[in-house]
Amino acid sequence: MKKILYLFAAAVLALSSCMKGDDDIVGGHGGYTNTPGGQYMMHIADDLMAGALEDLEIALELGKTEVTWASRLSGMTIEKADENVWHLSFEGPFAFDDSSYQTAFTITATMLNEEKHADWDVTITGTRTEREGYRCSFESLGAITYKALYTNSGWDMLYGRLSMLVYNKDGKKDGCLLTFDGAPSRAQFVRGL
Amino acid sequence: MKKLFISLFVLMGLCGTALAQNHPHEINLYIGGFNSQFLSYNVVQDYSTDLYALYEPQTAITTGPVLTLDYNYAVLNWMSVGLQFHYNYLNVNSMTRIDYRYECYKTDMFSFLPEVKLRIPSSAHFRLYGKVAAGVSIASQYGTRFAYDLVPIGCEWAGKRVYGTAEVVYGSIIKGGRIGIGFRF
Repeated sequence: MKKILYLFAAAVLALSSCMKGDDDIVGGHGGYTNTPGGQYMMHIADDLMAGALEDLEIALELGKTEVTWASRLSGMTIEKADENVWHLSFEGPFAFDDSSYQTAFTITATMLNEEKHADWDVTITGTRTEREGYRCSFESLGAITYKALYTNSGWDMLYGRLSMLVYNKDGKKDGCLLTFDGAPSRAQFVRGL
Repeated sequence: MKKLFISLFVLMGLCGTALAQNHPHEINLYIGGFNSQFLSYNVVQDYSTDLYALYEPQTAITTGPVLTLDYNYAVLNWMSVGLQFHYNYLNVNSMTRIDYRYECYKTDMFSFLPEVKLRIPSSAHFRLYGKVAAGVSIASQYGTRFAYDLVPIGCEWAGKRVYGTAEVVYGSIIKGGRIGIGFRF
């Protein structure tokens, strides 16, 4: 009888470990490319953050030394805050997926070395409003480090964490986290937070 | 010849509608099938990558067989009013693209529709009719929505009290047909 009870308990434990509730955290295995959610967040790290850094590097290359300079490339405002520290801000429609959504973000970029194509520590906070009542807010948890291995390409290595909260008409819909630890394709996407 | 046809037609009508006078109540039980309008409900065929497309489930819904019970009371020889009750289950296949989560489940749907049944003059053993009904369908997860049920042509045959019935249906619950059995009292 005891054996049967043990067997039954073991079976219940095994089954319950296999079950997945609706509220379980999902994702977190494989790279961000495995899920559209990861790709969506990668767009923030790539188009918004890396794009802003590219603008900043072009501004510096052009010798724009004014304290505040509105980038002609993207309409972004670049402001030198301190030695090797810049504030970048943007508010307006931002192209995404054949559409253009109202986007606002503020970036603080700290240059880590004086290379032509520098390494950067970047923090971001921002929001985007999309169709059908969907919107998101995103922010870096601490600084995200952008490292370039070569001077003539983009940033090859990223380190840090980017979080995103998704809302719809009913309120908060989801919480997501993209964790970078090297090559962007190896970033880990987790949702349901 | 023309008069003969008209006389026959009126006679058949009298036979058919006289039933309503003697037995004004009727109950019918049907089973029906084919497509439901729910097939096109909440279906998102959107392959863009913005938040709406990622979070709104892409859903395909099919219906199982529909059981229908209706009650009618003859207020006139040629017209009855009543209530339809339908039960069916929906097969829901849903995918959320944010993480490719796939769900497949069944959910119940109940519908209540007041109806009007119009009789076409016909014989005592073969009677034709049409029906119009409008009301609500209630399905868990999909809430309450408007429902309608049109029967352009239906027929009853065999006995006066107990009879078989078949009808063509176009509505929000099914588009197809129903067959059943009825009892008049």
